[in-house]
Amino acid sequence: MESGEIYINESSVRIEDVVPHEDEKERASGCYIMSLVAVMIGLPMPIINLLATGIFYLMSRKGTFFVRWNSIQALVSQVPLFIMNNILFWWTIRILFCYIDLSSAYIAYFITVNLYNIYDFIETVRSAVNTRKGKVHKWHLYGTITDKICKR
Amino acid sequence: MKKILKEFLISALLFFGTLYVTLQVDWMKALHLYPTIVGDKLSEWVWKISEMSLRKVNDHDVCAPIDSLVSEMCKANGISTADIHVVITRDDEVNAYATVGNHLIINTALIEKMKNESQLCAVIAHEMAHFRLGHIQSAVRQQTIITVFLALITGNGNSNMLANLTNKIISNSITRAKEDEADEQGARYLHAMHLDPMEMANTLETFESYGVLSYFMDHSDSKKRAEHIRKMHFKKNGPYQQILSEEAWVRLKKACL
Repeated sequence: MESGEIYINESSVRIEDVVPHEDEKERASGCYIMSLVAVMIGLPMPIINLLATGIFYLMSRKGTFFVRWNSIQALVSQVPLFIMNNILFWWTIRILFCYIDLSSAYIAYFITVNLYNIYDFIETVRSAVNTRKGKVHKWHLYGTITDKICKR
Repeated sequence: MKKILKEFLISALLFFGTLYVTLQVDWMKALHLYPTIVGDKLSEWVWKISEMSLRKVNDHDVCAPIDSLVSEMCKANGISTADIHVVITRDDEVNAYATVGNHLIINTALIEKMKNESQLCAVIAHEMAHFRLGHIQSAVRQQTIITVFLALITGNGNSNMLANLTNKIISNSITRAKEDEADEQGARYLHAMHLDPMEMANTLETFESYGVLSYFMDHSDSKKRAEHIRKMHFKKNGPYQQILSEEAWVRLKKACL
């Protein structure tokens, strides 16, 4: 069966039901890989990965439903991370250069945000691998938000 | 929408729950850290970079008299000598400055130019006042930022240019008002150690005559500052003392040539 054609006119189709083409899998997987690469290059500037996924989303805006959905999920997942990392980044800068005292609160926040970053990293890798295989990996909360935002 | 709200609440609960749990631990104690550790370590690092470009003088004839003057000043003014680290450097520039980690740098050219120990004490008192009045803190921050930035860009933490530039930043960032404050406080320090506080004014006028090479070249209008000191009133506190022997002073001047 030629995939990616039978649902074209169905606006209520769920992402789980889509059977993507090979090139769609590649592009959708690219969204997550893009954010992974951006995390590595962009550290410690947390804006970089949000920008990278944002740019990738703009590029995929006119793509197929499968590609769009995954690029939106990748973008949405970066928003809270961007906020958390930004707070951590500027807090660190203030400790380094403004002689704000190091505190247990900072270390607690540092650990929490890093745990969240690790969770985000694992989920991104899982999404990239699953998407490449043609499966959909829905994240907790972000998957649901993406379902609301991204319509066929 | 309900599903989003529910999942959002779970996520927020997880995040803030983790944060709450981690907040219960006294990490500072557990990791043997203290609040100012980062600033201290950075200052130490910046000092190490600056230190490399200095030609330190370890001659006993130079260090011993300066140490005597500094400890006498500290004793008379209730300052711990452990808080001030005096470094004498062989340098042709008539200069002395306060820098990171409470280091007070005195160039040999400055010692050579001073007419008597009171004038030298006036310079030391002025710099010490900068430390005590907290004028250096904000300048040190700027110095740290610039040093870290330049070291990262150039990849060369050992260059003279870097150290000189960062030291200049400290000098230039101290405002005219702060200079006046340090002059006043310095004159009080001199008075407390039974030296003539008006030597502060004399010293300022001396620097004026050195023109471009003046120690105060970064600080404007030494004449006005001297006038300001002359307007100050001090209680008479007995005959002014001589801290160093004539011999020690001459040896100090000779060693600085």
